[in-house]
Amino acid sequence: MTVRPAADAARREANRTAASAAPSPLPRRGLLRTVLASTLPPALAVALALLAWSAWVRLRDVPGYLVPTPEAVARALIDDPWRFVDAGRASLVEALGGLVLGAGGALLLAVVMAHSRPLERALYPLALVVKVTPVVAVAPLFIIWFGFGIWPKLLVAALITFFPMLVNAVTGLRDVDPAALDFLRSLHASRWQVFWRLRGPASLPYLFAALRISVPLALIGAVVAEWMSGDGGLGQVILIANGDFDTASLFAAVLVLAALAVLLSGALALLERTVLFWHESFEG
Amino acid sequence: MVSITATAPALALRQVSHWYPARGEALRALDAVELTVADGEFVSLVGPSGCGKSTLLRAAAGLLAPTEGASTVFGRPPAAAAAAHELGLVTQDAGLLPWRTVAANVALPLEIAGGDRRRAVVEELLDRVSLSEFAAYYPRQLSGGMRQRVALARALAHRPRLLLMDEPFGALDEISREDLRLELLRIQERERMSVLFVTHSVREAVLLSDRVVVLSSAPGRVLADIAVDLPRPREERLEATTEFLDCVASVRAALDVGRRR
Repeated sequence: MTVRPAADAARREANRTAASAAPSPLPRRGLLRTVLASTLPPALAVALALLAWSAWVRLRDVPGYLVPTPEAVARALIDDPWRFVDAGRASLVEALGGLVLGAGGALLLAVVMAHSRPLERALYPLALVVKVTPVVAVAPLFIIWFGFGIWPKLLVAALITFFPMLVNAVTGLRDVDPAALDFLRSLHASRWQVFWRLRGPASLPYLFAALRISVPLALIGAVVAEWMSGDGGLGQVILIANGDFDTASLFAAVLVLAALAVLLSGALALLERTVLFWHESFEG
Repeated sequence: MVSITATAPALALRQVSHWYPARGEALRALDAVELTVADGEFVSLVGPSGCGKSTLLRAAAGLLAPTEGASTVFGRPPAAAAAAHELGLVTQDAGLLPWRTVAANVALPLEIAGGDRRRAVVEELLDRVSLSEFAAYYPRQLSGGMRQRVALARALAHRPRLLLMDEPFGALDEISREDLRLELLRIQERERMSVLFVTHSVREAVLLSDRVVVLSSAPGRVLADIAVDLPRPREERLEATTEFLDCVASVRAALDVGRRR
């Protein structure tokens, strides 16, 4: 929610400037090639890992309640797909909601902290407290405070994504080209103008770095909270499967979780490529 | 007010001294510097490295408040001149915004100053620094010399009355440097804006300037203020004349005096 204004500003910029294109600006690689180049190697690695796993379980005769075969996991998925789809959707919504809350709140706080050293000094220890609070300790507390339902999950996911975004955003908002800042100051640009024209766009690479860390963390946060409250989501599936020695379903739930993380990270990478086309990390 | 700005020099530094806080004792960068740039005058500042040239320029631009003394731009504090968009700044690092095209970078001051934003203005500026074909390029696609041209066009966009240049061609190769020098000369002789130009090239200073001010090594003091009485418009050919070489020699002599002290 708060990540978007800065990204939008950069994109508007890109659109406006692309409109006046006479000679070739930055050449961009085809989308299909980009997607293929980034999905093919990991797909191969996953296939190899599955083969090795299957072979190991069969050759060593590992009992199914300890480690299921990939086939058993696939069967668990196919037998009751909606169970996993519903659970996955619930976890996804909670994780994304938590990400918006946590990363968005961190971004707002970072803007304040980046503009005032005293405020940064005052607030940083508090942020550290948030960081070192073990999620497993506060998740039950959140359930006591806010009951079952979506709020404890949102808050756990928000809590876990807060710190990486805060630290990166403060650094990013401060890490501006001093020559560009001098130039804006020589024009008597307001803080607001400096923020939208320099600090915001300059912080985008840092914000994306933070999101890359935060997206999987948000999923973990949501699932941990579900696992504690046991009312819906992949966490609940894992909790029940664990009690039933239904290892195949447990693995299936973990697999769905992993797939969600990969999907979200991929979408994020695509977005990053589009927004940060000007950054040297995407040198063709 | 109008009469004040009409008669006031473009830049006046009165008894400007500056200390940088350092471990133990303060580091003195400038020592009671007196400097005036008249309206329409091109003044260069030369001196050994670390003599406080950049500090002086930052004080003139209002980017730094000197420990003692004061600077005025057209009779007002630098901040007021900046607010009136009378300052143009070019530094050694171009300081372009990498997410903006060349054209959008040049348009930046127009957005801040709220001036004439028409594309024609930007096109004319780019034409003046011979970059018309590169309007849609991004800074990272340009060479160092081209980036510096963009920085020059950007600094001229809001029609500043005082151009402050801190070793603008310092990081460039000799050929780009000469090209840019001549372009700056052409622009300044046409527009007659006032310029304070920091450089460590004596020949560059003499070729471009009406006056060359020589600073001593740290803490920077004004050692000499040498008028360059060479005809305008100036051309590259001038560099082979005896008058030019005499002028270069007298600046070098002043620099040597500073070194021996």
